[in-house]
Amino acid sequence: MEETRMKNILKNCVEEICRTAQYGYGMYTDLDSLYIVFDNSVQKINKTGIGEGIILNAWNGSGFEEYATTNLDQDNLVKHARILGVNNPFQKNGTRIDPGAVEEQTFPIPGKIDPRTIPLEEKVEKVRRLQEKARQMHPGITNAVVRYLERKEHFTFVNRARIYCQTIFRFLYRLEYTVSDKGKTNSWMTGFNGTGGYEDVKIPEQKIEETLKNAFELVAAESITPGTYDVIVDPETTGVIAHEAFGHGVENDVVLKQRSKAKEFMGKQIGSELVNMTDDPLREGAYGFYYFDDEGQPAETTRIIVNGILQQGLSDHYSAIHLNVPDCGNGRRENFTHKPYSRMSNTFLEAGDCTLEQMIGDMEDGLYIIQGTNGMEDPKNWGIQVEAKMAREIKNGKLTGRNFAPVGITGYVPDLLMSISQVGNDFGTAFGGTCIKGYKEHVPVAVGGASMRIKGRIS
Amino acid sequence: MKNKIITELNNNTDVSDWIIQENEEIKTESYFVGIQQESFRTVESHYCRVTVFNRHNSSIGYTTFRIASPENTAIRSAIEEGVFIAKGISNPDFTLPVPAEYPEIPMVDPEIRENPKAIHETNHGTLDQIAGNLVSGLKLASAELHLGFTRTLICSSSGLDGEQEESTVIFDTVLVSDTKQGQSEQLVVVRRRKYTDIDITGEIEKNSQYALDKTIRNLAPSGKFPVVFHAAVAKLLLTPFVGHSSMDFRMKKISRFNHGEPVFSSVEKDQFTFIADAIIPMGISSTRFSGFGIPGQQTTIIRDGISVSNWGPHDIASWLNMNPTGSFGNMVVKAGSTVADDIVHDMTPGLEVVAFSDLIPNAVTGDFMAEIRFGYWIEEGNKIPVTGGVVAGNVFEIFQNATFSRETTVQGNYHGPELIKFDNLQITGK
Repeated sequence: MEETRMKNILKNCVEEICRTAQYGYGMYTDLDSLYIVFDNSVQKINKTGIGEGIILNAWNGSGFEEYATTNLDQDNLVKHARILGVNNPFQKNGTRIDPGAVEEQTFPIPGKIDPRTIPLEEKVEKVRRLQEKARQMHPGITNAVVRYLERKEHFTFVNRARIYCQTIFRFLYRLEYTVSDKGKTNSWMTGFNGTGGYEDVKIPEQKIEETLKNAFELVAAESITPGTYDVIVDPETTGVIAHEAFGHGVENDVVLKQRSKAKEFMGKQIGSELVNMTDDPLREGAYGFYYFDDEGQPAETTRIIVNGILQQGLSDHYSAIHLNVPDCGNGRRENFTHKPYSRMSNTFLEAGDCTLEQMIGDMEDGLYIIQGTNGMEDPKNWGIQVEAKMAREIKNGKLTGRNFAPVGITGYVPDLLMSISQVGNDFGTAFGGTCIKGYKEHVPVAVGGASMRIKGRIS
Repeated sequence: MKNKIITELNNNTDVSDWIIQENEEIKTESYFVGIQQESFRTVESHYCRVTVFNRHNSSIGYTTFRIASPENTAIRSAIEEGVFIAKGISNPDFTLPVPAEYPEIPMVDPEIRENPKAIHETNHGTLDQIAGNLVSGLKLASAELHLGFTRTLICSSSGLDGEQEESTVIFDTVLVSDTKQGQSEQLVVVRRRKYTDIDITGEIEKNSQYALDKTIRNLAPSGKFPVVFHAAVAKLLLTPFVGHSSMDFRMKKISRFNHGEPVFSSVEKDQFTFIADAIIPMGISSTRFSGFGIPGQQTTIIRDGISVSNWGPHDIASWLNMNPTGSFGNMVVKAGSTVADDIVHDMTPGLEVVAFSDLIPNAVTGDFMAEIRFGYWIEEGNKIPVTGGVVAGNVFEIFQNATFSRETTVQGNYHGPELIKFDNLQITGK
């Protein structure tokens, strides 16, 4: 729908809502995705986005009511806006939400090359060429899958004061090898995740070769003897640790529900002095980038841990109001059919000054764990479970060539953070994907950090 | 909307075939922090999922996209884009499914269809009561209730014609515990088609005990021991079986199953029978038809440890020259003959796992490792709560020594034994 017309419809709706509700907003979203998959047998190209939708929201002083729909007809929307307003008169002793300063802003589209200017054939050809090349690189390759995902997310937000618009392109471009050797099969993936322009969507040649090598090493890897080890984790694994083990614990909606230990530790030392952790929706190029959140709150950088001391959590509107903490713009929803929750964006442990070579050289007996894949949060008990693809053995400061898989890191988060004794200078936030909160709320995020040395229970 | 789309599709000479699924969905959701209502939402969606096919040079290309706008220009533009995409893809050709009779499967709670707000009010009252009756040391941290009603129509250029209505309920609550021993929480998630099929009081009672027991934080011993999985976690082990029995894996030549051959190298205990069932009445994954219009059906994947059938969608089945089965549906595991209490009683010492932090077996290798979120260490008749530590193994190995309980249960789309015991699993604990 044409932008000016949409803004006017939303303004009318907000006016209707705010006749009786203390606060309200309207948000138009248009989520469109192009998904191209080529593997050894099949080619698929689908438009998978949920399309256009509108959210109307009313606040009565203690809770929200929302109406969300695919029906963009103005009469339908104004009718429902009126109902929302009538259903949600401002309650006596209710809390007020400040709509903010009067402003209208259309944020610039990140990146140089708008993917909409690139013909579809060119994108398909890019995927096809990489797949054809990749599949021929070794006779042991069972399958080579190349995936290209381009998500266009457009949001128009209107409340009594603010009108905000943003359009963001998120890209996933991945190559996954499945290989077989001596009757065993396994797979390894590499790729690019980020927001911005089409110019960034590439996989370096060196990464393709490395991925194939890793896949074969994975197939031949041994099982690890479970135990407590000295470990160096790579930046990707560091990012998963930061996100899964700790980040969820500082999402303020779980703090509000008394489901997180974080509140008890606010202002206290919970990790070594080398630990600095940040959530930054404005980090350029990172997969979880945005200018304003899904409640229209401007995005802010949050320094969660500074020198090992817990500083602040991440809020949505509701948790910020009820915990009486700043709303830093972390209210995110999967799409217009879902409610917003306090969510991370781009979460990372900041870099130190050791080189990876130094860190390996300093280790007498331990493991170098690479490619963290996923993990699980346990904010109430601060337990940690993170899985990674492989661990490489280190003895007397050198990699021995022996590899172990699969690999899991478990333990108690404060113990793990306190055990951090070295942090590398090889920082990266190029690791993006989908965070699932609980079991059903999916949002794009990035994780990152630098290599770090820890002590962990490995199995 | 559907009729406008059909007109545009028939007017486009580059459309060789088409399938339309028209969906109308109404969801209502209530969210609570404690028993204080945080939010109430109503979501109305009406859209068509359109697949267009284009044949060229003895190949077929196809793509699926959504249309939610009823405006002719938007419809025409979406179809033209879809055709453009389809022309750029070349897969081996196949024909669309012919019209078939679809099974009658009850899938609707009439209350959700007619008056969902009344259910939300009832639920709020129930939560109030529950919160008031919780024993000391327990609190209701949060709750959510999601009610959905969907009507789906399917039609195609090949004459497919079907309709189904379905309702869904997701009841979700978190209990937090705070005792002298410590603090913990227990997540309760129940999915059904019908609200009154959820025994909320029973679920809260059972999980209240877990929440309290979880505050006693012991670590299980390390070593190889028998481990009993509750259904809620046992079902997660089935993913590699679903994968390796799929036509997709077969086509990619990564399936380890061959028809008529054992799926395990040897079986010491109960034989494993695994069924894909899309026609269970009120089954959460039941469906009258798949996206390609294949009738919902029941397919035995593994019978007594022998690979029997593959499951898969119409396109892949065509390429493999097999009969399509459509959607997988619900996962059914045949029960055993051992009473659940005996399974636990006979296992001393051993571990009974109620929940893992996260259990995602590798779909290809079957390897898994998972942190014990909560369970019980069983020794000499005593049940000692344990948290933390890891269980690791490979599903294709552990199912060779599996004991399935006689009693069965429903957990989401899993219909099978309440408990499954595996001998000799590696536990990393103390």
